[in-house]
Amino acid sequence: MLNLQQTQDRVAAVLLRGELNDIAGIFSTPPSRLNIYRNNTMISLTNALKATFPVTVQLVDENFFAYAAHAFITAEPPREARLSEFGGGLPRFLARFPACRAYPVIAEMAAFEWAITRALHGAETYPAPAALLERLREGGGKMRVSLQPNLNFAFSRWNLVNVWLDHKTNANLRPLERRITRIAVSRRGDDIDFVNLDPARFIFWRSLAAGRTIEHAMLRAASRDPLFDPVSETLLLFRAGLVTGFDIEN
Amino acid sequence: MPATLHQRALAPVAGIGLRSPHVREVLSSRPSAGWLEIHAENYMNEGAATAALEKVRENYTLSMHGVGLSLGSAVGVDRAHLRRLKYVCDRYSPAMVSEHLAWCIGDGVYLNDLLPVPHDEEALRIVAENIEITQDVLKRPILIENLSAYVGFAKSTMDEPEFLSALVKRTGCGLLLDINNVYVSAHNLGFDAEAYIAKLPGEAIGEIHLAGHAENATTDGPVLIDNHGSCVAPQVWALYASALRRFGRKPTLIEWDSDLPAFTTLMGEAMWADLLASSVAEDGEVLRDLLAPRDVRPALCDHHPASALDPYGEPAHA
Repeated sequence: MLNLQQTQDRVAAVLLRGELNDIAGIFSTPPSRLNIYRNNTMISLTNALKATFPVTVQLVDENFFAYAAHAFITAEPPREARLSEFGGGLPRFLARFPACRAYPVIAEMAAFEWAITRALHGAETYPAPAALLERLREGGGKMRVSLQPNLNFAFSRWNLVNVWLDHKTNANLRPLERRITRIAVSRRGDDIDFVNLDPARFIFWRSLAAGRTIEHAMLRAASRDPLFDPVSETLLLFRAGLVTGFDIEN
Repeated sequence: MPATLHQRALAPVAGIGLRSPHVREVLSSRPSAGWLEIHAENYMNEGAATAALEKVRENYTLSMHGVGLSLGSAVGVDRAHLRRLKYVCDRYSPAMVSEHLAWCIGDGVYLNDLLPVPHDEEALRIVAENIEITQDVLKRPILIENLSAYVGFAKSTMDEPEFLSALVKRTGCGLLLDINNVYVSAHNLGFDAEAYIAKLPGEAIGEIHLAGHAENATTDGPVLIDNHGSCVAPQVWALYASALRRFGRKPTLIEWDSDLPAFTTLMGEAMWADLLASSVAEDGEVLRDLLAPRDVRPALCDHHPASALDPYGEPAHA
């Protein structure tokens, strides 16, 4: 007789991999009923992905998305019960998924939607007043600013924001416009804000968000744009309410 | 287990499960739900939903229902998840906290479904240990919900009411009686739903759940699916009336998670639950005839073909 651990291991193998070989004698009911649980697992996780990636679903159609989601769930199942954390690997998975590889916009839209999801589930903290910019000047380039925890970024070779907004307003999706876009996504209350960034600003914001000093972020941005002005750029971040604090690197 | 004070107790009236599409409406119109139930896992980060719940709780008593702790896991509860559960619990101080007699993590994977445990001494010991760990961390007793089951275990040595009663005795936990689950499991596993309810320790029941179910045709006959996607079935209302007569009024939740209707539909179901409870309490005859099971069949469920997985099937539910 199997103990509870062995029983659960074998049931999990059925649910995750369809391995029906080792469950004889466990149940007093037909073993085929495990398919109900298997379907619940696969379909509910697919639904969770559909809720996180609604525009990606619309781009590829529901059936194809379900097919790709099934492959993804099998390859990278969730490891914890917060479904808001599930799906971060889908953009990369879609980029390599044979049926999608010729259409990189699918993975890029998924990455954009994941950035939106992270913004929705990220904290919103009080912005630091712009008056503190003076303190930043005193600290020089060794200062490190904290940005809104819900700030996320997306890069694409297509203009994804328009398509996402069309979906949001139930409009017909506009044709995808081929244009490199670098987008900052943040949350203010229930609303999602998008900011299109030029290449140097994108580098600057991302470097700061990654915890780099202003000096480091500035040098990286200046390598892309020699005229990059860190003072006005930092002021812009303050005014956008995206700076929440700062400290000086020891 | 030290006791702590929490949000005011749940009133023995009908409450409603708060789901994200209804949050704005609840905040703007403040419908007169007796209390609201939330799924703890939806509030384990600092996002927009969490901020909205801060406002909701100003006007409603909350019951917090967990779906991811995996109390039935042989490897123990997920400690990281338990810490998050405590965080949500401390933050919102719900009047009740509940989880399931189930496991949902296998081979390190969150299965997003609630799976049953055998009813034997080994499982009883494991589940009791997991409940005690949970109650020690949360510093409060929790309610344990009976599951809807599609499979039974050959190794079970007791029935579920005996198993639940033993858990109550060993851990001091309470019970969450899901009457739809009793009905669904009774149909699927072939036991008497009335007899099941009669065997439960009524004083331990702190909350009742009511929900809709669907029917799935399988090769071994129809299986009822607990899909939380329709109105409460007449047979379940009848069982509820029976439980009311036996146990008296209890806080009762209208659960609806898939194919979510307008909030007013949920209010209507809650109103019916309250009317029924009043009628039973007053030994009234008015509603009795209406509550006898009618010739209403549950909706067919096309989400769960018994023979094979259909990855292209219409989205369903956990």
